[in-house]
Amino acid sequence: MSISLVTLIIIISGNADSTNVSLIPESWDFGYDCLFDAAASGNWNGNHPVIDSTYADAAVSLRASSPEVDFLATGALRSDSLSRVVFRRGRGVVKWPGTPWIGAGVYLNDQQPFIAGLSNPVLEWGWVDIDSIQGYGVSSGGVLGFKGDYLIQFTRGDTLSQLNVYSPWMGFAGVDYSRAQMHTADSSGSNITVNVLSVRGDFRYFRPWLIVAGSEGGEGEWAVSAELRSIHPVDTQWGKIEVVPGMHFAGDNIQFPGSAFVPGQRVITLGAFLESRRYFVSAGIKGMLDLSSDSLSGVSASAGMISEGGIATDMIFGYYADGDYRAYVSSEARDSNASAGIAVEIINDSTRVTGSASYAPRDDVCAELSVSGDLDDSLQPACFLAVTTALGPVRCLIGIEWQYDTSPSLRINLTGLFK
Amino acid sequence: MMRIITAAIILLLLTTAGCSFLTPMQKPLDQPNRLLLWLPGASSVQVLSDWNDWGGSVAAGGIIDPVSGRMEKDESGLWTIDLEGLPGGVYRYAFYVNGYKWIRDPVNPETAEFEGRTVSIIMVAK
Repeated sequence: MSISLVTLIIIISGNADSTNVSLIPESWDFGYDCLFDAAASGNWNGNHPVIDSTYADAAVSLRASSPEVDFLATGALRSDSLSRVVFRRGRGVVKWPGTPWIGAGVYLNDQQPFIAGLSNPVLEWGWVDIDSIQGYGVSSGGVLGFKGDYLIQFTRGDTLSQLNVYSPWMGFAGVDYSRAQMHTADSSGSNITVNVLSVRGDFRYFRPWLIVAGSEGGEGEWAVSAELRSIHPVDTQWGKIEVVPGMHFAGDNIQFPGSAFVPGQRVITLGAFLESRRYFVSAGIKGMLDLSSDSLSGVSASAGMISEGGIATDMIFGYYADGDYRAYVSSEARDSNASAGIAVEIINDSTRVTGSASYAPRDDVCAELSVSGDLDDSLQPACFLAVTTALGPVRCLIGIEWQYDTSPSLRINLTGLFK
Repeated sequence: MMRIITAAIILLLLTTAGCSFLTPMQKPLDQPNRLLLWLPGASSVQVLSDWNDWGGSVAAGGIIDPVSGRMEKDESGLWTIDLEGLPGGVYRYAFYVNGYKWIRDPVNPETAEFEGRTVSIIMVAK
């Protein structure tokens, strides 16, 4: 493990707070924290483990604030087994506190696009390779409670810009608008533009949620998602049942990198969800009807309960018109310092059973064992034993994993936060 | 044969959970702005979500901050976190148990996906 990075962590964690430096005005406040994550892994060789891979990550944040300005800088470093320290991610943000406020930032490998949808995000993490991003951002707000930010990012010659505007809650509704544009630099020259308007309302007896999305306004480049929330045909002290009608329509030429919309989809949904106010029990069922084809039609259900006897049960079922199905059932008996359970997961023709047990000799220490295997001829057994501790902001894991076709592997992980 | 074994195991699970333990555990209070998880043996539980950059794993540090979204445990083994002040919107979330295990909220029937995992979804109106 890298000595240099560990030394850096120790130096940072050992320093006293620098707020008493006389050259600094008294109205300024300084602080720092260091988040670290160190790991070692290896295999079992004969009677003893052999460590063959190590790394240490550290994210160091420095803060300076005064009544006039807030400044935050974060740098993330990684050290590999060759003791090389690599700068991985970073961000610096300066902000004027209070209202109205204005902020600006510089980002490296950070701030990937994300635009929330209803059940699935319209844009989500993973669209852009994080190691290729550098960018800048400005944000502002305060005027009538509106907030906004603009990010421009450069990734391997491509340019991605994202504008977000958030309204305050206006008594009965709130509105968010996002626009993301991706200009590619390759010979294809293809561009993707996403405009998303998200409206959430509250009309006492129901709450409509509406997502309208589109590209540049071309034919078929649109999408609409809507749900009516908070319709409660049954609402008692025990609990309530919420009925949620919804629809997800999209034009034939819509282009979205996420899974929120499929071109040409015409899906209506109806869900019913039971939530208890007094007890740990819930259940839900949701049906989807694809009006254009049967590919997205199906039904899914889930239920969960914790009983007085300490049995926690969790179930998920899904069946789709194309023949795919999935089921997951788990039941676990829990005591104050021990638990044991079994889970069955079925995905189409594959069935996997997992048995687990845990023991916690202290509040901050837990040992867990899980054994799993397929219910077919291959069996493919696997086993994982882990001991975890959580002492304040420091967490440690020691684990041994074994799979049917490999030798046992060892994993040691230490994560913590120094302030 | 395998189908029979599978059905037998599921039946066993359902009957184990259902027969002598059918009465659900009572919540401490009606706490609409709190997330609850009863897991008395866990050494740590965090909430990772869209609202906290999944514990920091998708932010500048790229490391799950052990303090971010940390839940507090009471004497009965109930982990809680207050969501008061969360801006209105739709959020996905999951519980991060013992620093390595992701589980969805077992008493929230609404689910979504995050990086191939089944997680829970919550809608905050204001």
